[in-house]
Amino acid sequence: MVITTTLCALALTLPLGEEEYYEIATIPIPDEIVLEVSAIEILKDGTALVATRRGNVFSVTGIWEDDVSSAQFNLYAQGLQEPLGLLSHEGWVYVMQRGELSRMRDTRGDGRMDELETICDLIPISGNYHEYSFGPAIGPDGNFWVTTNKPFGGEPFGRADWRGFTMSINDAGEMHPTCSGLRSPAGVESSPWGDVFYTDNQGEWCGASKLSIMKPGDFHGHPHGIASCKKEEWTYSIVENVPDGKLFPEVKLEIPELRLPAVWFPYDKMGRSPAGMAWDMTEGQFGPFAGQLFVTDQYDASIMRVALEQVNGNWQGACFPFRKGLQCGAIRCEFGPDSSLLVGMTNRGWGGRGNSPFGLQRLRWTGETPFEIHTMSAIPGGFRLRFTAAINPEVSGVATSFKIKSFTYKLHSPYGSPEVDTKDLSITGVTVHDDDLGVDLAIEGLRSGYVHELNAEGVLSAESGPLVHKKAYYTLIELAD
Amino acid sequence: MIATLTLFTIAATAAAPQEPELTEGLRLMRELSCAACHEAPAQYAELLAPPPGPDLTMVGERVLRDYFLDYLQDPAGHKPGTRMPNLFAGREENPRVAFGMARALPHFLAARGEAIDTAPVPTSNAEIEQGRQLFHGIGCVACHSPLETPEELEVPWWEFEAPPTFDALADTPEIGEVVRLGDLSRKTTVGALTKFLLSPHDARPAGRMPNMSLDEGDAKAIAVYLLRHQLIESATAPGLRYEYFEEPGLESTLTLDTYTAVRTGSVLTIDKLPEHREDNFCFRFSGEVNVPTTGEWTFYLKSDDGSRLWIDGNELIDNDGNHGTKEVSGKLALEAGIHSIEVRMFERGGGENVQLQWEGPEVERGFLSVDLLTHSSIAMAPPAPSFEIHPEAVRVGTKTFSKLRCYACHETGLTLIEQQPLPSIAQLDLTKERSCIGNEINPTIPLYDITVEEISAIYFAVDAMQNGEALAHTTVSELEALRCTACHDRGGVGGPPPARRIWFEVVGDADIGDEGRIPPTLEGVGAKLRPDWLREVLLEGGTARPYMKTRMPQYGHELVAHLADAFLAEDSDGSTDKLTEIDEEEVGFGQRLVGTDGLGCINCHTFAGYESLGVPATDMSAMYTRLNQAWFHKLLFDPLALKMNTRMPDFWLDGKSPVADIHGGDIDKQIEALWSYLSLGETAPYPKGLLSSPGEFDLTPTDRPIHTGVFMRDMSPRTLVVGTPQRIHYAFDMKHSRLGRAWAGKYFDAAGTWKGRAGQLEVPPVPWIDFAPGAPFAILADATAAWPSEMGRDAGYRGLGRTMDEADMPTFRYSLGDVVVAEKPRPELQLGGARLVRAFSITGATTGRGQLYMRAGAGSFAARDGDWLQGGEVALSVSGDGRALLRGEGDSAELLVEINKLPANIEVTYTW
Repeated sequence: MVITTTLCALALTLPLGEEEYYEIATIPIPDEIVLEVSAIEILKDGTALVATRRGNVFSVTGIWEDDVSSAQFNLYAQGLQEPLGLLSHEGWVYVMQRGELSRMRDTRGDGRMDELETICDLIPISGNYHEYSFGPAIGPDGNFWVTTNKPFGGEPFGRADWRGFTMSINDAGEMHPTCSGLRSPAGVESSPWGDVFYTDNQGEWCGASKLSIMKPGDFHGHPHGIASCKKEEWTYSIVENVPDGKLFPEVKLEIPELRLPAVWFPYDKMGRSPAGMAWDMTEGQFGPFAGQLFVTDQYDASIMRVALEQVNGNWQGACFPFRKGLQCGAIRCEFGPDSSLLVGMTNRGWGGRGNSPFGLQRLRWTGETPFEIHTMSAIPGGFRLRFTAAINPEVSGVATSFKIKSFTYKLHSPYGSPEVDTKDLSITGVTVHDDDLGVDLAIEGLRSGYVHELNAEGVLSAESGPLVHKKAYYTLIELAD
Repeated sequence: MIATLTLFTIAATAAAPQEPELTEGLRLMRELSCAACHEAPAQYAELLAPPPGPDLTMVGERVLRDYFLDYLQDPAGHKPGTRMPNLFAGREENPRVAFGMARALPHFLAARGEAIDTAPVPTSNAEIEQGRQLFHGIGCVACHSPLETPEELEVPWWEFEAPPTFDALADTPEIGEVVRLGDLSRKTTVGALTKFLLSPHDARPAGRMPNMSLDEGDAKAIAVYLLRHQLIESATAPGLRYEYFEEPGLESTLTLDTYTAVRTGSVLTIDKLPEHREDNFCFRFSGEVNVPTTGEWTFYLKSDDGSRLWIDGNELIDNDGNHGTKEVSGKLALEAGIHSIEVRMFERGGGENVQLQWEGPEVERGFLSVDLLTHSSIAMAPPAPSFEIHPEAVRVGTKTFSKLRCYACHETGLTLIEQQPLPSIAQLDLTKERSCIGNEINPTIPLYDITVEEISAIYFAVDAMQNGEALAHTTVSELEALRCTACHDRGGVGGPPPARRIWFEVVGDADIGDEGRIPPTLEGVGAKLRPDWLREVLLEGGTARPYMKTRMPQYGHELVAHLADAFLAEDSDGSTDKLTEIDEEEVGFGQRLVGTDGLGCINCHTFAGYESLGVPATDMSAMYTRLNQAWFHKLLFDPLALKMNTRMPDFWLDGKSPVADIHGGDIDKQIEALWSYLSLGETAPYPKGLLSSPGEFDLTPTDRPIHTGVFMRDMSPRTLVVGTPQRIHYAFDMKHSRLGRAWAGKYFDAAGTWKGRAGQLEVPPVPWIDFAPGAPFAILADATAAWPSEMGRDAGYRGLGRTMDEADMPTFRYSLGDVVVAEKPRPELQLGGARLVRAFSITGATTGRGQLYMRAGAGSFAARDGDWLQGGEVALSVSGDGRALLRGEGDSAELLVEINKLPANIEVTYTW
């Protein structure tokens, strides 16, 4: 019955698609350039440095105009080994290669990098293709934080330590292993408040893709690195005997070092392979989501949105679908000087949506405010939703306009985890905020360590328009009190 | 309670299904061969047709005599879970009879066939290791207990002090039900077990142990691993040991140390090479030669391509390199007696041969006599038997065999006296305590090792038969009987238990999740696969998943042909292939959709044997012959709906295809176009992106240098290769701060580094020169101190980075302690050859620890016009603030550059 009503409403007011609010401009790439994007950094003068998996860095200009057809690509650097991260810092461009953190600059001013300094080459690699390294991000200790992938299959030059780790590297090039248990940490980024977050990809010992904060001594779930932790360089407690097949919240009780994610991205509902990310510091120039986080997905050719909050000192929050339909696997994004989001893509080696082998696109807010769930936050006994526009309180302010269920994942050796221990929760009360911009939902049976999947299917705006995206996924670790 | 409710609900709408307990009872009665002794009512005869017990006609050739003694006393004690009953239980009261029977039967059994061959069988560590990996990898441990954990399997077996005991992990409840192996080393021999593994149905016609499609080498390897408790340190074997390697791009036999042998074995002579592939392989032969007389001996080594000979660890002949048949000789003085010998040869392309001859005191030039060549080896030897076969005991044993009705289950090829028939199943009185599955131990009745629940299920089934109820085996219970459920699930039953999944692995490093390592579900398999393909998989060894280590076993036509029919009958949705004729335009659409500018299927899927750009998912060119169209359509439309957790992408966005210009983005029509295209099978025109277009990854520097970061074989995974417009290229090992090699002409093809997931170890495309191995600089106490073997950080080096000049030519910077080196390789044009100048600018200080040296070359040197000619190929010259110094002799000479004060600028020029 409820569904019928909603369908009628839909029929009355056709929803506007994502493209009405965020338009995509495709940057034309010269035919001779294979731009399998691996990293993006935007310099103060607006030049975008775009690194590629083939080891080149291009300086790209002319991409912030309305018309991007005159974009210019110039080779800035070459010969880097899978440069998966760039960071402009103190006059240098830092670059994370497979086994080396380096910094580069152009001393002659001819647009070409002519000096490369090795900061740290202690990051071991064995010659396995999957030994990628990501970063750097400036950590709370002021050092460079980088993350390392674990290998798949053979290690041609012998077993390499410190794969599946976060490393803190100081200016002198000294390396300190800081977090263990990472799997495929394709994105690493400092938050505006200084903590460093990373994204990880679903697989063995990673039940679902996730965004996690990194604190020294954390164990993020994958036991690949336990042998390395027994070396003297690891100065934190050693996690051993990781149980295979228990629920994450159960394992957390056994292994206090286990870091539960800030946000789980449920498989396929929110992409499959989260990668790079960028915080919206545009103060509203990119739409109504100032301060929120945008995350690329390398399978889904999409951008996801994350709104974090601190509950009892723990960073957690919700993810929302945001914008689909990019050229192919989106691996990196950065905000440009015009407050648009530049997205770099490659699908090499990993299949996904979209039908381009690589690409560079710019996402710009059209100025129209999408009707979206702005934030979902934990309150005692329920959740608070805030919307980007006023809701119709009569239609939206009833329990039947919402559905919520919760589930968690197993920490286990098989590839990914199904959603387990799923429960439909009942909404016992809805309170519409005085400004009509939000509701408080009273919910029975909230569970810590569980994803709470909300479907606000019945919510309509004051103009009776439906939400652009009705779903939100809140990872509830700390209950609000 | 819940189960009953469910059944009840179904019963209300359909014919009453068989109670699960009845199904189980029926299955057990068949597995226990009840009808072998108790005649089955005619209507159930087929259902209860007993699977034949092990064929004993030749059992004396495959089982060690003493094993019969032990096993017959207590079958379940030796092999828990066996369906073989204890025949002597309860006979303790009459020990004389029991003793006589128990002692005589082994004589009878041991006399079946020829006497077992207990001669030691040579093996090797590599062979045992191979068997160990196969046993744990190809699916044996789906049914049998794994003997070792995956972590243990990462370490070669010889690094453990003692081999794991049999059924080591069988009592770990998490790994689920296991078929016990028992202590095989007391049961059988390598030869017999190999034969059994190659053709298990000969000895065990019931087919519960399937044929794993092994070749003889694999079967023997598994046998030696399972019997490794029989290992003896032996034995001098005749001939030489060989190791066989497969490697592309070989240039020399010296790199062989870094490879892993594909196969090892022994040969009587090296002149006829053991089995090898056509090209790109190498061999190492090693052992001892017994020199008959003291004196001077000349060896002649002829080969195509290169080869080398070592005597007593010293290289005597260097006939290495890529060449046609060529002979090189070498002579030395040898004492009479044993000397070690090693020959290596490699073949890159074209013809191949190797021939070793010698001549010496009183020996004319000729091949080395076979009886002079030996090598030490390890061998497997079973324990010696404790008794000889006694004819009188055989006679008594024959009678015992007959009296105990063993013939009811076991074929012997003999005509035996049959006993009075036992009550038929219709006549069984289940209220009597005296039955073979009852509680009472009775000396005339065999004792089966079964549980109370199993007994209850059998009672249930017998009761149903006596009441004439309609009974049938279900498909799932058939799958359980053959243990298909150890790997596959269907109807909510089966699939490896979670704790056992860790032994299921992918081949190599294929990253395709659990779909790559766990055998597929059989849920709906009759709707998924075409009937012909289903039969091909079940009966002809058809496979579609080369990335999966576990092999699909074969059970033989009689046992599984009916399963294909059952799957089809239960699952088929009656749909037929809608494709009746080929439309060229549709095929063209499909071709585009599969390619990289379509849906990009080949990003993950193999096509007509060509690797995908990413993971090795199933070959698309075989899909049409394997799959039903309706299933294919459903999968493409919504992969997750059909296969939970699949990594197959869902391509569609808001009900539209991303390829808008084919059928207006209509999903159904695009899937049909794909099917039209795939119907062409291997003859389909290749999709875009499958094959690299010529030159796609081939790099050619023209106006500026090209720098490329690579994994380089024999150097390090952090190597920068620099190609210059002068067409002289080099590889700098950044991990070890050393210039490794240089070559001239073609730069390189980066496909191994740039195509798909890449990660190949690169080598230059043409012959190259290697610079002196190890660290380029060292601080030595004096000019006679040995060059350190360490390099990179281990030798005190630190990579500092690089700078580029206006032309993008790099200068590499590194430090050794307080010494800082800037090294700029500079190509120079050279008439008829190539030249690379290494220009060093050295600053800092050696801080009193000794003298700084640069090692310009290592090998054999000849003076030539003030330069040095290294290895007859490369001319070296030294200039600047250093003094060249040749030290050492023969092949182990070194050309050093002594640097007396810093800062210094030196140049070392290499011309070849």
